[in-house]
Amino acid sequence: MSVEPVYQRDAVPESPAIHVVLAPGVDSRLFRWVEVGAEEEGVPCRLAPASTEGLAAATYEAAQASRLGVGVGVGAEKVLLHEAHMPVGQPVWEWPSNGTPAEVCRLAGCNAGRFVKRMPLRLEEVEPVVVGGALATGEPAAEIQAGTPPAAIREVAAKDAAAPEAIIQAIARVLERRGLA
Amino acid sequence: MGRGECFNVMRLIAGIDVGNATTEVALADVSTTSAPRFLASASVPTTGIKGTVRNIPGIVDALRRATQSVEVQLSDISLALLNEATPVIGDIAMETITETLVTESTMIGHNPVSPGGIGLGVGRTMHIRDLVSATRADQVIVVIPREYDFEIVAQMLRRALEAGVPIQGGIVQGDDGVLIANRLGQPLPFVDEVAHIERVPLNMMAAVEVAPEGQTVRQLSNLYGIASLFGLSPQETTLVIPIAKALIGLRSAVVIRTPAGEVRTRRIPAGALTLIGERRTETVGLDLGAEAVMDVIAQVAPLRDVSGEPGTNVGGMIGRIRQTMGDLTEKPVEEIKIRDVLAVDCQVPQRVAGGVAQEFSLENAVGLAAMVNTDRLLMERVAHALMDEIHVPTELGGVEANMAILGALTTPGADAPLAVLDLGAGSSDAALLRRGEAVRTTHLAGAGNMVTLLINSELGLGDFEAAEEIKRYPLAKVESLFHIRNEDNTVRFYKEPLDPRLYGRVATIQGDRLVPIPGNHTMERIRQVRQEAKQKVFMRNALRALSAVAPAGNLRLIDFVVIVGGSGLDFELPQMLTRHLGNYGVVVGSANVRGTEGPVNAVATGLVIQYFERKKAGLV
Repeated sequence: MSVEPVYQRDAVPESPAIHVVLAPGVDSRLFRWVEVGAEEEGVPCRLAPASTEGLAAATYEAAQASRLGVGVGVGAEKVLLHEAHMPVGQPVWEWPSNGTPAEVCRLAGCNAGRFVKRMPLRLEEVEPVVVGGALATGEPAAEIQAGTPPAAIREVAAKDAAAPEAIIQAIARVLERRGLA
Repeated sequence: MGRGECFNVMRLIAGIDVGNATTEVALADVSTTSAPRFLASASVPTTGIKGTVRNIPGIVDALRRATQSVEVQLSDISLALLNEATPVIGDIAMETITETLVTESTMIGHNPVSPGGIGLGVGRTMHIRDLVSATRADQVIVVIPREYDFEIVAQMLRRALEAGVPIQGGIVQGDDGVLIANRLGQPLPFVDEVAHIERVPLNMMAAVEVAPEGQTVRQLSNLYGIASLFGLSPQETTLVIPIAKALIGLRSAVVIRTPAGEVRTRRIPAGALTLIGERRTETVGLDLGAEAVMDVIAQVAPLRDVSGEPGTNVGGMIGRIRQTMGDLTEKPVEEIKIRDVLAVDCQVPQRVAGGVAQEFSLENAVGLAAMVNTDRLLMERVAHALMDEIHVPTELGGVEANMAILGALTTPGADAPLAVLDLGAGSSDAALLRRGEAVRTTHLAGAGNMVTLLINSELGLGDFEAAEEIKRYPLAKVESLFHIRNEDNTVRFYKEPLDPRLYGRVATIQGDRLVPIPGNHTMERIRQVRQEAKQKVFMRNALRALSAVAPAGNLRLIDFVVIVGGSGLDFELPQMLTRHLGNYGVVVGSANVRGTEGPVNAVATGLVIQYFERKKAGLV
C-alpha cells in the first residue's frame, strides 16, 4: 500500500499555489506548518526563493509570482499574508510570532488558503464556527477553539521528530506480537 | 433674520408626532392668511415607549433641532401640538413549538468547514489508543481526541491499515480531518471539529459519512439509509426519523447506535388561542399553524379580546404581552384587552439538547404580534409633562390617522379619494378618505419590529440590532479587498483596499460603511429570509389594513394608496407593495410630504395644517 500522501504535490512547477518565502535564518521547517494550514483548506502551497531585501517586499514578490496571487512571508518575529493587488508595503495581515511560530505559521497558511477560496479570514481570537445545520453562532472561546491545537503538543511534535517514530514502532511491535503484521 | 423682529411678526407652531420609532417635528409660521409657512422639520429616535413621559427628552431634542436650524428659540414657539396617538400599543413574542432531544449521544449532525476524506464508513467506535488491540475482523471507526497530533494519528492509522485492520473512518476533535485523511493513501471519511468528543460512546456501531465538496450527506439523511446500515426493524426505524431530518443539508455526519439512546422530536404543547369576537368566540390550536389562526381571526372580527390556554406556550406569551402592556399603561392586567393578533410561522434554529458537536436543528415556531387598546389619557399626560418642561402651551392637535391624511395630501399630485398606509415599527395603520365621508381608520398588530424579530430568529442571530440592520440595508458580498458584489449582482470597485476583516463576508451597505453580518449565512439566504419576513408581515398587514378601511371591505374599490412613515423609506418595501397591490388594481406610491419631506413628517405636518384650518375658520 502506498504511504505517499494524496494531497497535491508540486507536480507542475508553474501550477497555481500559494507562494511562501522564508526570511534568512528562519527555521526551514516552518514552511511545513504554513503548508499544513493551507492543506487543511485544500489549497496547494510552494516554497519560493526570497530574492528581495525585507520581508514585506519579499512577500509581495511571492504574491506576485503566485498564480493564485497569494503569498506568505515567514520572518523571525512575524508572519505576513500578502495579496498581489495590495500595495507593496501593505500586507493583508500581519501576525506576531509570539514565541509560537509553528502555530502562527499554520494559522497564516490556513488564512492564505481561505483567501484563495474567498472565505472570511480567521483573524480574531474568538471566531464563529459553523457548528451544524449550516448555521453559525458565536460560542465562547473555549468551546470553539477546536481548530487550535494545544501549544504544548504542537511544540513537542515540532521539536521532537523522533517521537512519532517511537510511538509507531511501539504499535508495530504490539501488532506483530499479536500476529497482525 | 433678527430674533426680536421675527418674534413680533411670526406665530410659530410646532406639530409633534411621537411614533414608536421616531419623533418628528414640523415647525411653521401661521401668522399669514393664505397657508402655513413651514420653516423646519426634525426627526429623532423616540425616547421611551410611545405614550409615556419618557418621550419628553426625545420631543425636546427634536424641537431644539428644528428651532436651531432656523435660529429661533424654543421659547419662541407659541403653541406645541401633539398627535392624539393611535390608542394602541403593540408587543411581540415568539415560541418554538417543537424540540429535538438527543439522549446518550446518538447523533453528530455536524457541518465543519473542512471535513476530511470522502465516503461512508460503518464500524465500532474505538479510541485511537486502543487501536493496538484491534483485530482484522473489527470494522473500526476511530475516535481521535485533540491531544493526538495529526502526523502521529496518520502514521498510527496507516500502520493499522497495513496490518489489515479495516478502519472505516474517524471522528476527530481537532480541525485536522483533511490532514489525517490526506495521509492515509486511501479515501476514508473523517468528521472533525467535534467539540465534545468525550461524549462519543466507545465500542458502539457507528456510521460516518463525508460528502464530496458541494454536496450533502445522502445515506445518513435518509431514514431508510440509516435503517439499512444498522439493520433496523420498522419500529426502530421510526425512532431515527428526527436524526435523518436533522442531518439534511450537511456535508458530514455521524450516527451512533447505542442500546438505549434515542433522538426524539418533542412537540411542545403550544396550546390554543381563544379569540373573542363581538359576535362569536372561537378557539384555535396554535399547532395548526399561523394560517389557521389568521383565518379564525378574520371570521370572528372585530376582536374584543384574546386569551391563551393556561399552562401552555401561548398562554405564557399572551400573559407576558398583557403584563408588559399593563406595566406601560399602569392598568390592571385584567383590563388589558387585545384587539388584534398577527400570527406568523417560522423556522428557528435551536441547539439540540444533548448533542455532542453543538448541533442545531430547525424547529417550528410561531411569532405573535398583539395590539391592545389604551386610553387617550396617555398622550394628555405627555402633553402636560411637555408643557412643564418647555413652558410652551401644549395641546393634543388631532387624531393621528386624520393628521396623516392631511399631511399625505400635501404630496404633489395627491388628492382625495385616497388611502394612507403607515407600516410603522409597532403597528400597521391605514386610513381612507373619500369626499363627503368621515375618515375610516384601522390599526393592526405587527409591523417593523415583527419583521426584525423574524429575521433575528430565522437566522439565529441572537442580536436584535444586527437583525434591524439586515432589515434596513441592502446586502453585499466582499469578493476581494477591492470590490464588492451587490445583491443584484452588480459590482462596485474601491480605490483603497477594504478592511481584511470584511473579506469574504456578507455585509450590509450603510451609506459609505460596510458592516459585516455575524455568522456564515450566504447572501442569498439572508436576502430570502429578509424578503420573506417582509412578505409575511408587511404584505399581509397591508392587505388586512386596506381591506378593513375599504368600502364594503373590498380592496378593489380603493384607487390610490399613499405610503407614509418610515416604511416608505425602506429600500424595497414600496416596490414590493406596488407590485403586490397592483394585482388588486390598487395604485401605490410613497408620499412626498410638502413636496420636500419624502414619506416622513406627514402627521406633524398634518397637525399644523389642521390648526391653520381651524384658525382660518375662526375656531381658535
